[in-house]
Amino acid sequence: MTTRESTDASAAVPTPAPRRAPSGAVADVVLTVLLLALFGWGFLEAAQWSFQAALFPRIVTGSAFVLAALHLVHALLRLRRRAALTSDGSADTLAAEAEAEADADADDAVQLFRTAGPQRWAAALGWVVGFFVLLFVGGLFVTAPVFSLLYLRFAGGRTWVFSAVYAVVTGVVLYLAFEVALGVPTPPGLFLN
Amino acid sequence: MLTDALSGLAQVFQPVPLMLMLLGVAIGFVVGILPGLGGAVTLALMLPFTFDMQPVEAFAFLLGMWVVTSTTGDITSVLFGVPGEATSAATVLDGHPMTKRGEGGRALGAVLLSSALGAVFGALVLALSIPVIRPIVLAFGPPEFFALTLLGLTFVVALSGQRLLKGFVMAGLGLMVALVGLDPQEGVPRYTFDQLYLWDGIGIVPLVVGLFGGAEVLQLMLSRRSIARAEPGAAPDTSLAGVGQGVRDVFQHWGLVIRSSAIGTGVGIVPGLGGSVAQFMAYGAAQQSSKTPELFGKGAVEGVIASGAVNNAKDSGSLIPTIGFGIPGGAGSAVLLSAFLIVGLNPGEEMLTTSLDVTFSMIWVTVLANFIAVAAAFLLLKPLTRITFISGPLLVPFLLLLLALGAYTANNSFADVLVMIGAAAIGVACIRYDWPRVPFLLAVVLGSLAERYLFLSHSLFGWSWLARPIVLAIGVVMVLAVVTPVVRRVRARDRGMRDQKIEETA
Repeated sequence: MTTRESTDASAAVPTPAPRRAPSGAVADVVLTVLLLALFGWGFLEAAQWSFQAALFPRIVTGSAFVLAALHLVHALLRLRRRAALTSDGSADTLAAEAEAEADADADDAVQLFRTAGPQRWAAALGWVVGFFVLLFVGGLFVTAPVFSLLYLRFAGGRTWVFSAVYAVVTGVVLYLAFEVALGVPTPPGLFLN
Repeated sequence: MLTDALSGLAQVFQPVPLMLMLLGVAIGFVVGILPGLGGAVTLALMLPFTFDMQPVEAFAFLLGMWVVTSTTGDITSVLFGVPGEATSAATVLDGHPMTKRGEGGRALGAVLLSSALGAVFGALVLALSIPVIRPIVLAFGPPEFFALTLLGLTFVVALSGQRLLKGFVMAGLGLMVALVGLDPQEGVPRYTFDQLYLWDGIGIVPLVVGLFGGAEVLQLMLSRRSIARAEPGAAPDTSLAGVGQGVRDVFQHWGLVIRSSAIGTGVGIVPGLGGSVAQFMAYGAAQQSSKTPELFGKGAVEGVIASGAVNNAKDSGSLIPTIGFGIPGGAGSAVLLSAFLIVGLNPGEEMLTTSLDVTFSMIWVTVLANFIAVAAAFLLLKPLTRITFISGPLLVPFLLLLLALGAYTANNSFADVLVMIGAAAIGVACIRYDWPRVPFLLAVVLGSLAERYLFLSHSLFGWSWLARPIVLAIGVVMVLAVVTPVVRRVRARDRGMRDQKIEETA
């Protein structure tokens, strides 16, 4: 729903329909609670160590716990304020706030990560997982051509010939650079490990 | 001293040292572009080749290679958002958004020229500091080093702007990650979950590669478009016009170049702080002094200039304690120190008196190698910027391979690849939910240093170190770094409310 649409809707209906809190505000609360738990665990874990080993971790985790708690309060207040605005029917205020937030974060990556649907996310993550599993099993010099070929053919929609040429060139360039010229070790794969 | 300086220059221009320097520059150029293969690693790999060389030949080869990796590491940061070096991470923040806007040429022009100027500045400071190295370095003890680490962190948290609290929380998370591993005092395993791999702590290279590069590659996979985008209907702008603009930007912000170079040289002098710290400190200082701080992180050319200038200046800075005391300023200068010993040079008095011409030859090499690398990079700019207009799916396999290699080659361990994947997930979550990544990264870099210097300070001075003049001065700068943006924001809000009231009454 665009800002324009939401504004029009609020003008037509006297009592606006209840809105859900923006996902960013809820995510802030969830992430802060997770971090709070992590810092709390870190602080308690340090109790098992000697004074010297535990001093700096306790300073760090203790301070971080307090800061995360402050942020949690801040995030909860923000959620409550939004809820109050919703119940007051201040849809315009919320719309303006959402617009301001969108302007503040007018970054391609933010928008893309927000708007990409589950199918695109699943496909992208599937390819990533496939790549790293192949890398672990087959090593670099198998993964480079095989993944390039499959990704370009099926995700990139290129022809078999183009994909094959790209795959071979990538494999050869990496082999020459890392194996022949620099002699730097690369992931060998499960069978050569 | 002038005679020694001229003698050093003449020695560099002998055929053999000159050829070796060009060879070193060529190797450094390629290595700098490849993610994960840092300058220090390359120096270590090439060190055995210098066994039979004369001192000037060895330094022409090694230094020529080392200083160039810093320059070319910025190229992948700008074009692909994958830092070629850990010390190029800050360049990603503004350089890559500029590339996405189709201003890759301008960003590269700015970062390359500021790199060259930073190198000249650093070399000049190195030459001028030779008579006064000792008192400067001796003025800094563990308390001052500790204060500097906190200053670096404060600068970066202050970068979080309106998300100051989030910045502090992320810095806390970064410090906690830095604590993973064996405790440096007693060898107690901390947060290691009984995993041997974690005893050494979490590597900075896989973290940097994942945090920044991972998110960029995922973005390309989701969008399936090129990195840079031309206006709809317009042809992609791969001309060199943007480069000229980038060069002009550098001259327009000459004060920023000098300030960032000074920060780079200053931090480089302090042993152990490293290039990442210097870069983020210069970046933070650039944002604080900018008239448009809100543009930082979204493609501000000032951020690119600051990151470029500091990167090369810090190399010369780290040579100061290496030459003066035999105390390396970082990993790269530690390998160079080995080269000193291999070719029979003793750091300290000998390099400042009887071998002063060799010392000056090193200074000349840092300047000349940088200019050669920058000239070569300028020649390659057109094809380089064209790469960013290539369709996203074509780049994905190559970039994924670079990510994996960047992470793996740090320690030749697949566990580092897993760390990189974890860092990429954190990076994506940070972007998606608007949490700052940079304070996290810098806290990881600074965590172990901060702990070490805190312990040393307390052991040597109790709590009286807090009253040392340099510590107090750094403390004041830290307070200003946090308070200034807050005051600026409050003032801007008040001004906005005043304007609104005036509009309402009118």
